[in-house]
Amino acid sequence: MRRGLIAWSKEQVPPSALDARVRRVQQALGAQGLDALLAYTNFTRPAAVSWLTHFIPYWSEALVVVLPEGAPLLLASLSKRMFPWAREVSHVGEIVPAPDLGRAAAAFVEQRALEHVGVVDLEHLPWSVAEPMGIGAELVDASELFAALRQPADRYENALAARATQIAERALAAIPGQPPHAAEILAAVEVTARLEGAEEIIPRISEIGDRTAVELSVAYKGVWIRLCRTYPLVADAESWFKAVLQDHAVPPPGKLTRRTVESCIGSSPLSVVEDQDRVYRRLPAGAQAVLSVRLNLEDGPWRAAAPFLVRA
Amino acid sequence: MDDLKAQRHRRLTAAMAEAGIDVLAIAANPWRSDYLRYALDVTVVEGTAIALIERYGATRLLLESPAEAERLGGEWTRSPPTLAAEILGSLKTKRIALAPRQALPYALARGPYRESIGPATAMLDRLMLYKLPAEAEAVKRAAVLADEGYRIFRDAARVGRAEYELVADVEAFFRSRGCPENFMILGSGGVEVRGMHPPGERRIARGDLVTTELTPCPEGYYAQICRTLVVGEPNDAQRRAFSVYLEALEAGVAAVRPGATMGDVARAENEVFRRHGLGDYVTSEYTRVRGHGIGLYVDGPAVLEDVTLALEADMTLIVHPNTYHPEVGYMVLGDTVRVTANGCEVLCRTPRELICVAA
Repeated sequence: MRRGLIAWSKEQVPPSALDARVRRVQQALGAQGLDALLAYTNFTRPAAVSWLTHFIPYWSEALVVVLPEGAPLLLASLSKRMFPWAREVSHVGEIVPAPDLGRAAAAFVEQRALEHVGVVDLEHLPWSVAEPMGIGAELVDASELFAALRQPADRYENALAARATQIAERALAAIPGQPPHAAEILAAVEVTARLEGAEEIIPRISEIGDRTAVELSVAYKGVWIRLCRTYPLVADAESWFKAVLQDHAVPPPGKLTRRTVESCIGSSPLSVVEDQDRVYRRLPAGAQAVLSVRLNLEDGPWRAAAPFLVRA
Repeated sequence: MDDLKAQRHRRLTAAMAEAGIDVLAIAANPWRSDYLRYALDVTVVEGTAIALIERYGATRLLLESPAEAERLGGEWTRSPPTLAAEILGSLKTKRIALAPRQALPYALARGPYRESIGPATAMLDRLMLYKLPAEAEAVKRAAVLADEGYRIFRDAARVGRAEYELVADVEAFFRSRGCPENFMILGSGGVEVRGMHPPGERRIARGDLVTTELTPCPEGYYAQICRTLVVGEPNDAQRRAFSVYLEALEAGVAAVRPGATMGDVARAENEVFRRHGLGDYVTSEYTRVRGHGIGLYVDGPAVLEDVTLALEADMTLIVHPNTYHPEVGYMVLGDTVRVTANGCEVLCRTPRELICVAA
């Protein structure tokens, strides 16, 4: 579950910024002949809904419905007692109780006579939601529509990503000098990141040859980044990675064995858009992304990951 | 755990044989990892996973996250449901079933095996509900950690600290003990507080009631504890209110025995509130459930008056008469219990008292 800080600061993400994102979706709906766009959320796939409304489910599931006009509606299977909390942390219009999300969504679609319903990441929509809803309406995959709007990031998202990166850097800096156990590394990064206000942190520790790679995936107010460092640090590999992040063509100090670019283009916080073999989706300039690399150095493997903004 | 994993595998294989299933596809994500954990002892922390389990053969694990594929030794694919559908489509002579309904992605579920989803999900639900003794032992070990975690929470709850800082201390403790997962919500404040939520920025103040539901999952099995503390000395209203919750918890626990239903347990708790003139506060307006099953999933079958599920030995559940009290606000008190041959064993050891911390 999400158990870090969940809060909405209107200074960090003004309602007008969220309204602008929703308006872009509404404009695209008409062009695609869709009656509505649905975005499903649980804490595994929260990204489309958090981008539109700042709603981040700590548990349970919900659907955001964007109609051609008006504020987005939230169909939430959370207990009604949680609705005041949901209002506090997000920017939505009506909140509709939906203890059985699939049936509630089906009823909503029927009441509104929605015939062509676009769904972000339809392929991942849980069957418990899709099955009842699909009976009365044509479900259309709106992943491409959404992905085309989702990037580049706006300045508010960039600021949140910068803060997430700062949290991850501080968490990595808190790792004890000679940690004998992975549990000590995990405890150090957890407490540091959460005290800094992380919404969530997913640490992964890998023993690679004589080195230890620590990757932290950190969420701050709905925006995810990854940061990976290999210990002990290798100066020339670190310098090379910094240069690559700044788009400089520099030969690696070893054999590049893996290269992955991830970005937020749908309901998943980060999806692979490019690897060493192919480009799955070309990102526009200004897109928020994460670069992960692996090198085989002369004395063993080495890894790194960091967020970056796609250049023109 | 290896023994437990082997026991679960034998039960699953037998259930598949009885149901005539050659290949079972189990979908999972970080929210619903319980079914996959039962089958393969695998917990996914990012993205979608789909396991293709042959009854007497190989297992393939398809993962959406490259990092998870590496960590769990599975195969990375951008779309596990699409690849799973392709693989299953090539197994023309096999009898195939999909589960669970809550986690199966549309791209896989909409195909030719959709009729199998209901029965296969029910099959796995039964396996997870009626536990092996070794599973109940795992819940018992988790309850020990829940007690320890609550001590950390109690020490963390100091005036001026933000709610999310309390959680940071607890999470660091659990990680230091090798526990990767914890379900935790909390509340702080007074009569205006109507429930618990993920941690916000509110800072603990003198006189607050601080509630938490803390649920570590050290070996794939959860155990939960619910307690309420007061920052400073409790007032008379808080003491009076707490005595009702204590009586209700004791009544609920006393009702847990083989043959009793979840409804019986809920009624025992609720009757106490009704006797004290607080019957309105055991309705869905003020509370969700009066407890729930617990094990591989944190939120199992509900303890509610209309639930007819009968208890059997080695089932595990939390009994918690958590609800709003009109004089003091939201209050919680709950213990995880294991159904025994004659009654139940209370697995949480933290004293059932209105805990006071220094103001």
